[in-house]
Amino acid sequence: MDTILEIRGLRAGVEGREILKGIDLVIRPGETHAIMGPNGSGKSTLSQVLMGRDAYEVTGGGVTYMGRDLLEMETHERALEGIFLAFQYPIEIPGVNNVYFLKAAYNALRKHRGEAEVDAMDFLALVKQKAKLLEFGDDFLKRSVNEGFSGGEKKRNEIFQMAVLDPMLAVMDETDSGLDIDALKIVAKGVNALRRKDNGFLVITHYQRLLDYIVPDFVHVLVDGRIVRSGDKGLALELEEKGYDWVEQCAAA
Amino acid sequence: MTGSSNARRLRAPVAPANDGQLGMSAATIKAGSSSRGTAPADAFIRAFDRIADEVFGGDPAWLRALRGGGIAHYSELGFPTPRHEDWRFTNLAPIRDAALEPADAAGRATGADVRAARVPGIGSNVLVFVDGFYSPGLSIRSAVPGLRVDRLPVAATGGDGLVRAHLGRVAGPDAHPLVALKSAFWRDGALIVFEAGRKVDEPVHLIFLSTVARAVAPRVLVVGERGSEGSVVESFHGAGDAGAWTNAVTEVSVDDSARVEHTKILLENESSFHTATIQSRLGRDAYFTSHSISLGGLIARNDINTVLAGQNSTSDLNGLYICRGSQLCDHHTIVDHAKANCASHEFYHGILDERSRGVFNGKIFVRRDAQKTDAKQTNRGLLLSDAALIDTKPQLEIFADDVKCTHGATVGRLDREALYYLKARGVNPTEAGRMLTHAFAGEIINKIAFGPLREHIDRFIFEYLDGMPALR
Ligand SMILES: Nc1ncnc2c1ncn2[C@@H]1O[C@H](COP(=O)(O)OP(=O)(O)O)[C@@H](O)[C@H]1O
Ligand SMILES: [Mg+2]
Repeated sequence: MDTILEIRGLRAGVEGREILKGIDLVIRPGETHAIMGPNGSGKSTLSQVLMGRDAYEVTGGGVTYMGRDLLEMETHERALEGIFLAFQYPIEIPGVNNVYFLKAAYNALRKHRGEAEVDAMDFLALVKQKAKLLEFGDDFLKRSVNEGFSGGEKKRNEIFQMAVLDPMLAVMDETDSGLDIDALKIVAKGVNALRRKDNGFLVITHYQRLLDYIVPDFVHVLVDGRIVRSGDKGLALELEEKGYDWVEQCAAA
Repeated sequence: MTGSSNARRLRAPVAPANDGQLGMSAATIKAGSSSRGTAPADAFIRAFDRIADEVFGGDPAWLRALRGGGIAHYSELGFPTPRHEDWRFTNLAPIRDAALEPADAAGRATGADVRAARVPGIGSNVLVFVDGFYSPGLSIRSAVPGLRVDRLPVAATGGDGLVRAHLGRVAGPDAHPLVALKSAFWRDGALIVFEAGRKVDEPVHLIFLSTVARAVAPRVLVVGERGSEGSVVESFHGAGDAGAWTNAVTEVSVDDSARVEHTKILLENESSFHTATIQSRLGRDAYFTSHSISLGGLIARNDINTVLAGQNSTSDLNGLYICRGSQLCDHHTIVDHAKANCASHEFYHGILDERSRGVFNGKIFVRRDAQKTDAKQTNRGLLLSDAALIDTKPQLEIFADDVKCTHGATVGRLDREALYYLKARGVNPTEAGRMLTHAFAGEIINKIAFGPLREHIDRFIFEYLDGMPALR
């Protein structure tokens, strides 16, 4: 497969209001793409549309993932086919144990691929190894999904889950917000360990800082539902220097 | 979970929401000779009149008076109908119309029936009652320091006065018509005493098996003497598919500084009727907790009442009910804060599928002397189908001024955000629904203190939820 994800003229919105106004983006194996943009430009909407959240209506264009029509697939199928979304605002699910939930997800993946499910012992070994990589304490594992976690802990839990599920396409929505520099480095280390020749990353961020640690191959600037500029990692630095006003003016011009 | 608050009758939104004492001593205990209105005797009074002399004739006078008082009171009140405020949402006409004869002997139950009802980790005292009658062959009895277990009718006729001192004092026959009826009809049951200052770790398990379509009125008296600690589990099961009527009453006396845990598990079949009263009375510095796990029965009504009759005491009432088909499960609670500095916490969760119905009515009295009362009542319902319905009503009557009383009722569907999150990790929608439903149940199950019991209940609830139509 020479493309993982192909987004063509994607338009989407809520209740008749258009948020994404024609997005084109191709992610090939081994590539990391960054999407930067001001608040409210549609970054999260794009990530949610890719995951199949039913609050958003796709009004135009298409998305092909691994040769299949992504928009025809249900949310859990997308996940089973290898898409992972690290949420900007991960929710708390009281009463559902972190490890129990993750084991269900992991085994659902294995089953989907025709592999044997792993037992609790083997799974715990895997989880402990990944938790160590992300310096994620054992007590987090015992707790309910995100319950009582700080903002930063929630973000770290997302990447921990991502490390366990090892996706083909990882979409990270502002994983850096709410993380201090040390936590950011740990998260970046975890993400970089997952990058391979055959998978792809879509890293959404508001700040350039994250991209010092997760170095992208391409940077796209999203303004008001459109990609107004694309370039290499230099674009992120330029954006940092000149500010979003600059691209907004570019977009208006 | 999301949903609306404090509504009376809550149906799943079409679009998912964002969410006693006896004053009477009868020479004969036939109801026919008691003063009662002109209403024609109903089937239960006739049944009582028919068996009273033969079955209860040998009882001591005080006990016959208790029975006589019960049937007389019942005669005055009559069988509950939805016209009574306490029975508005729970129509017992099917029980009245079935007019089941009182069971007069134990039917056939096997070791396998009992094994299916056992709780791992409870093996010292497991008392089995078949159709209301104690079965020595199926029961396990062991001597445990600090614990006294007896058959209630044996203890009642014994000389120590303990039963006489308590029976009908905690749950008086004047409570409501069914309690009156239970006071008249009870034949067998258990006395459990946690002796003063002793801690008994392992719960006593009472297993009630119904094998025939008859009426049974088991009676249990639990006495936690001063400074004692102990736990009782009562579980109700239907062997086969006979639709029996179990009309049970459990009285719990929690004396000063005692701690008593009571767990009731209702697993009767879906053609049976169940009406039970669990009435506790606490002294000073006492603690009582009730867990009502209610899954079975076509109509199940649980009256769970507690009186905080001494200072610095706490009552925690927890409940989990799960209904499907056309089941109805009703919890009526009365928390009576009679003395100062007491706390009560009520947590009831209902899970309803198909056309089933849930009722929750929580009354809290705070008497004039009960300053510094801290009372909290939470009732939450999870509706898994559009046709399921919950009627809920808090009733607060506060006569003291320095109190903290909170209540809240929410009814809603599974949380869409949480479902989405789980699906985004590859969990299929059915499994995601099951996980969230189990988590909702778990919030109540996790309050059970005795570990092996908690784990046992968790396991079978998990399996039970797997069989819920909306979660299959
Ligand atoms: N579910 C929704 N309902 C209504 N408006 C939404 C919803 N999601 C996003 N929007 C609106 O769409 C715009 C883009 O939002 P979002 O995608 O969250 O932007 P970003 O992630 O870039 O900050 C904002 O104006 C936001 O208010
Ligand atoms: Mg966003």
